[in-house]
Amino acid sequence: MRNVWLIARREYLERIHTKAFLVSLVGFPLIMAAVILGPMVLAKSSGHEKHIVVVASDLALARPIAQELEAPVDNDPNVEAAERPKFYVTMEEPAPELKEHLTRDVQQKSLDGFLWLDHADGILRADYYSNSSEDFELADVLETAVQHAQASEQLLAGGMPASQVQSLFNAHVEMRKVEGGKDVGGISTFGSSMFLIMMLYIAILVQGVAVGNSVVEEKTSRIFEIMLATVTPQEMMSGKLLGVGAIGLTQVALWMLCGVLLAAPGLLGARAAGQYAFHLSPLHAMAFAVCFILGFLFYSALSAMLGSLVNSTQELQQLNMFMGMPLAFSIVLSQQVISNPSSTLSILLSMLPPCAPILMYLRISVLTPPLWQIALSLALMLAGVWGVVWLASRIYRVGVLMYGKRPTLPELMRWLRYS
Amino acid sequence: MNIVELDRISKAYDTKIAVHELSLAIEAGQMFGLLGPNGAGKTSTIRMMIGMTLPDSGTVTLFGQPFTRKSLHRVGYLPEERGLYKKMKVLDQLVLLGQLHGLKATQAEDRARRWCERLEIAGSLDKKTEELSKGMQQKIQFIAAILHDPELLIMDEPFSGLDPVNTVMLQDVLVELKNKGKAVLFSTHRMDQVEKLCDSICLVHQGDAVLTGTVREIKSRYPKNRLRVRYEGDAAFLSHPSIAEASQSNGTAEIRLRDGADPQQVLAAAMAKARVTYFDVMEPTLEEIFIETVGGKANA
Repeated sequence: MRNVWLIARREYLERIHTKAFLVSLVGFPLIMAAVILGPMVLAKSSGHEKHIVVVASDLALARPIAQELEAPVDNDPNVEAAERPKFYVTMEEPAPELKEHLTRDVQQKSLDGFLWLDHADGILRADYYSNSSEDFELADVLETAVQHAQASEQLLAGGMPASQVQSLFNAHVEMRKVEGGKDVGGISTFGSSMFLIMMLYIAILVQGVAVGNSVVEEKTSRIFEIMLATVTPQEMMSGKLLGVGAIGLTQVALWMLCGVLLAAPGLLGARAAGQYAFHLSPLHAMAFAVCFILGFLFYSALSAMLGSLVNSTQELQQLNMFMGMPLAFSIVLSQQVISNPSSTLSILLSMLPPCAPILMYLRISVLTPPLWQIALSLALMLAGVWGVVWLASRIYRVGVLMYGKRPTLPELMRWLRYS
Repeated sequence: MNIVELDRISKAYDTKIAVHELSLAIEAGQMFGLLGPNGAGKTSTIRMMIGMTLPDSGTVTLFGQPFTRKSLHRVGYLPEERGLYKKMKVLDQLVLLGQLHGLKATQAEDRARRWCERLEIAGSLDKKTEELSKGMQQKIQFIAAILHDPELLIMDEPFSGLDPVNTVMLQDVLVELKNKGKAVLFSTHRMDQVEKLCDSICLVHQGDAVLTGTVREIKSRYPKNRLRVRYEGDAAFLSHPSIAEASQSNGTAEIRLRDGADPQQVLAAAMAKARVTYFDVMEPTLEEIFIETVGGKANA
């Protein structure tokens, strides 16, 4: 254990003093901020006001559409304020050459688009013409507005008072979660899971692969021969894993600290104003930390194994793509697990060490699975980390002594049997 | 008690036999030379000695016990492939390696400073390894191998790439350690170093130990068939039937006798025609024995 500690400490101290550590410490949040804030700023400055024309032979149909679109966005709980553009709507009746005229306006960008409503055989046909046919959010907004307008036209014609008709369209479903027999509010399960996935993904991409690099470095600097004369490959791998892992955790912890400090005033304010029912139970916080750490260690161990297979960082980079695949797989499956957290498939997947960090956390956050399942999943993750380290150190030991080319599969099998 | 005992160890890699039934023993206070041309199996033998690879057959005994990793604290190893952490400072590096060998940090630092002074590299203690020359790095590694005062020193080609001054410096250290009772093994293909330093040798050729024993005993196994004669006068005695080969310059002749020939006869023949001022019956050098044994592959 002393040797593991000595090796881990060396790795940690050497890395924390590097420029690379500082650069990624500062650079990454900057890039993230740019990625998140950039589009918002761009959206604000350009496409956030939309001037459209509604063309209908029946103004009774066009008016409610225009009203709904022009209504202040805060009144609409369905759409987040930031995402919905502000509309300026003009109403027109169909006229000869109107379509050609409007099309030219759209082309010249003096108009964002026009909605052409047409009755044919008693069925309403609505076409929206613009420079992009792929704005799905806008399609949603327009569709809702047209449906509402159509329905209210019918209801008004049937004699329902206007105020009553208006109230019909104000229904909104809020997703709330029941935990331990009480309503704990609408915590964003999916949100916090996505956050975990993001953190894991990024931590692994930025720091997890460092373990592999460190193993390769050990090989190319040829120091392993001195090291192996005193420590076992297993001690060496474990030490590297812990040392480089601790660097990764330090970095993520610093990022999160910054994130929390920056976001806290906003979140607390929102909570005080009752806008978000923000909730994080101690169990969730713990599950988050444990899943993150175990996931990070598991993938770092994988990286160490890849590192022990190759002889240069270039080769390692080619293999690193395999690291992200189980993560991507977990993300693809996450929707499935959220909707069916107790299905056999979900349970099985949440036991699989490569997927467990994400999928077990998902299951813990959407419902509380039986304790034994959580315990088993964590135990399997630990066993997975140990197993991969064991495998990596065997490959490493034989690999470094027979360096030269990348091993073939049969050679690899022989290495594993070698003692 | 032998410090190292290898009993008929063998190791085969995929395509070739690296070591074949090799046996040797090293005692405390002995300087042992592991000789052989490149690729003979020296490094493979050393790696099995310290448990980095396991022999396919045969046994390794260190300090009178079958090999265990625990024994490694009593072994100092200088690998043939040199390597240090490039970005690490020399002192930190030596302290770490000392600690891994079981020293306390303060103890390791103390000894590292002392050795660096002795080997005249104390000025580099605070430098990063990558800033040092190859020779200096080699001295650092040498120190790393002896820092924990091991009872057995295993040095794979310790002097390769060093200038004569530094070679002598390290040789002196090794001799000093040997005189303190440590067992020292070093591998080399330089016969002159072995001749000068070693008590015992093992000559490896293509995985086989072709010669093992003390230098004295090995040399006595070979006939003393070389003569050096200084003379004044007629050189006609050089065509004496006992002489297989002779060369001369400035009145000194180097002579190789035929097998079984008696040097006294040559001396008599020389004295009959010339005035002999110097006559020496020389032992064969290890290099000659080496070349004779492995068939001229010493520099292969």
